[in-house]
Amino acid sequence: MKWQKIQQTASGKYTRWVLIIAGFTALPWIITVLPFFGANNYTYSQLNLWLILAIVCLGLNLLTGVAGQISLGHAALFQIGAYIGGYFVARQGWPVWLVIIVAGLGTGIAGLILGLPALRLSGPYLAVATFGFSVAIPQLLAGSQDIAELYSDPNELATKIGVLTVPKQNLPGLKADDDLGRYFMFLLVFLIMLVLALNINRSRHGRAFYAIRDSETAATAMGVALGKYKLLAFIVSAVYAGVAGSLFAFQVGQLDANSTSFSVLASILFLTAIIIGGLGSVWGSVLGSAVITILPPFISAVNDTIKAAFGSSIENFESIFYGLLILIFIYFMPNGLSGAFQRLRMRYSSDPSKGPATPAEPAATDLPVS
Amino acid sequence: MTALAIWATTTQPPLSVVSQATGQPFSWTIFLQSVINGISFGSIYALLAMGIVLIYKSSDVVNFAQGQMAMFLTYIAYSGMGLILGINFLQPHADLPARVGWGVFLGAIALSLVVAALMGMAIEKFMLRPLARSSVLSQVLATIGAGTLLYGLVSWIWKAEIRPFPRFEAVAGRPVQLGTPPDSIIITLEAINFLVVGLILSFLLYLFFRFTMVGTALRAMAQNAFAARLMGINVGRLNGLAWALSLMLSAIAGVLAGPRLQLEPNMMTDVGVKAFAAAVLGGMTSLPGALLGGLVIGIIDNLAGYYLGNGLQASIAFLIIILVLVIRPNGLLGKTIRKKV
Repeated sequence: MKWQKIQQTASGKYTRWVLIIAGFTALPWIITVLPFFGANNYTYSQLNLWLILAIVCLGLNLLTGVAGQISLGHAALFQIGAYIGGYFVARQGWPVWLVIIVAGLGTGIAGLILGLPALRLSGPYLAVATFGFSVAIPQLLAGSQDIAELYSDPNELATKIGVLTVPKQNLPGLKADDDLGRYFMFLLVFLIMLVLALNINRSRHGRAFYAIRDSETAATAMGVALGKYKLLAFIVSAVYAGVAGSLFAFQVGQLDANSTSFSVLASILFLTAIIIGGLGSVWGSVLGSAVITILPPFISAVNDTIKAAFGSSIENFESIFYGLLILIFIYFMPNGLSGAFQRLRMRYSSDPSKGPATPAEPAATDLPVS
Repeated sequence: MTALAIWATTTQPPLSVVSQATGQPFSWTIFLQSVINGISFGSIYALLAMGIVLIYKSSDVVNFAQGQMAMFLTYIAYSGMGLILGINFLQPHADLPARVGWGVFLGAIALSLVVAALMGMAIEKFMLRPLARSSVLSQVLATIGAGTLLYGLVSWIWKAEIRPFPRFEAVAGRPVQLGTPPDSIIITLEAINFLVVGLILSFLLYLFFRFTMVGTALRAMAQNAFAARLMGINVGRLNGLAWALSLMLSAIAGVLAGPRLQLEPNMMTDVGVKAFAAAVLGGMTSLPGALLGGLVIGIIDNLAGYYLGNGLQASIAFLIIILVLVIRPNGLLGKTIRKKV
């Protein structure tokens, strides 16, 4: 068969999805090709964390990359999802699948609250408002005894305020510690969220989001209800963060309100992931979060080499690494990995008329806007 | 009372009054003490906030790394003291004296200011000018990336341990006491110093912008960079100047707050966040607004810390800011900007 024929078959609607699902299913075995990732529980737990991060990034990319609203508050939404998920499983004993939906919807309401300031704020002001959310939520969950009493184990409350112990969850019939089994449970959720994201991007609402990002004034002139769509973007994005948060609770088993997984640093990490993957690109979110997940063992390996060579390792070495990574992507690959792939595909494609799947960012105007 | 004791000691003083006054009758003394502490440390927030505003006004970039840059410059000042005293400041347990005199202190500040100016101009020229046409998100993330990088570099060069920062001899004296002991208000010379330096620098900035040619050019550029360029103003160089000024303010803030915060890579994280909030509260485009915002944040911070406990302190500060922003989207003293298509 000719290459073009293969390409055509592979890009057929159903064949493509069969290939994608097969790829994701085989991933736990494929990834063992990489150094540091053997066929062990560590690898599988990293894969699970990747799926969780990818779901957050799908949502964040919808808000930031597609609708153009900066959010530094996504770690807080993620945390709300995790605590809702953890609470209903650990304290109420609800079925897992129901809890995932409840966590998504509950966090959606939190997203509505986070989005309310967005109706009047933009740019740096919005960044600060969402940033404040990111600072406040961990404090509310950890610092306030009244709130902590709602979810903490009464026996542990005195010693560990803000800590919620959650029984790890898995597919029915599998052991709680089986991370490989959990991968397939998470994969199911992830695929649903992925298809949703792809469809939202192409829908009428998705186009309204793009319009708002490119010019709020023009969007309003075209009849896009600005407030409604901004709020909608925040809510949908929050639902993603909430679903991911509940999965996180099922994965790690113990939630600590003060941990860095929920701090502002996590919000920045989410943004880094979508910048690496490519703003406004659904597959970019998946790729970017994969890069963020794969890196840590490589970073510590580099640090070990430094330790072997110079006698002492570098503290906070990953900061240097992430800082450089962010800068490199912003300066040299502003459209991220998905942008780079897009360029490659355009260069080698048999049909160059197929442009980028998502509208590119508009070029800034030369005229002063004041 | 414990609060005052903690405030007056020199070891590891907290950013604000810690104790929680639940169940105690309301006391004006404690209230006033909190307000005074808030105002004094608020001037540190204000200095950083004015730096953020300077950059935002001149080049429309929000510098999320102001705190980290201040932290780096504080380390530079620390190393300057080490250089002058001939102590190896890089080694993990460098024994810098607890107090330093005028010569060492001013020398260290001078070094830090020079580095700040050069660093500001370099960051503007090589980091942000290439991004002038990029999206706000790219610029924001570039500053965050730079901050993260600085954090890593500082942890590498100076190691991520906590070091005491030498105190300036002239302000290390006995605190001023107002009133008789049970009901007295204690004000340390250091606290007075924060406020005085903050106010003097603000006044100097006001004079600079009001009366000098360069200051006028900066104002013109903030109003309309395109028209300013047509009038023959070198916009690029002025942006560099704004960055340099901004980082010099941060350097001074860092050196002032150094003894209180103690030297470590995370020393400015919290302060940077508060400064950022102060800048936004004041309106992001207004220097007096940033000063006011800094003082207000300082006061809210201290009062909330005392009456609600440390746990909810930051939440309250941010809640108030979000409320203010929702009511006045351009901050307390910011101008309403109408966007043209």
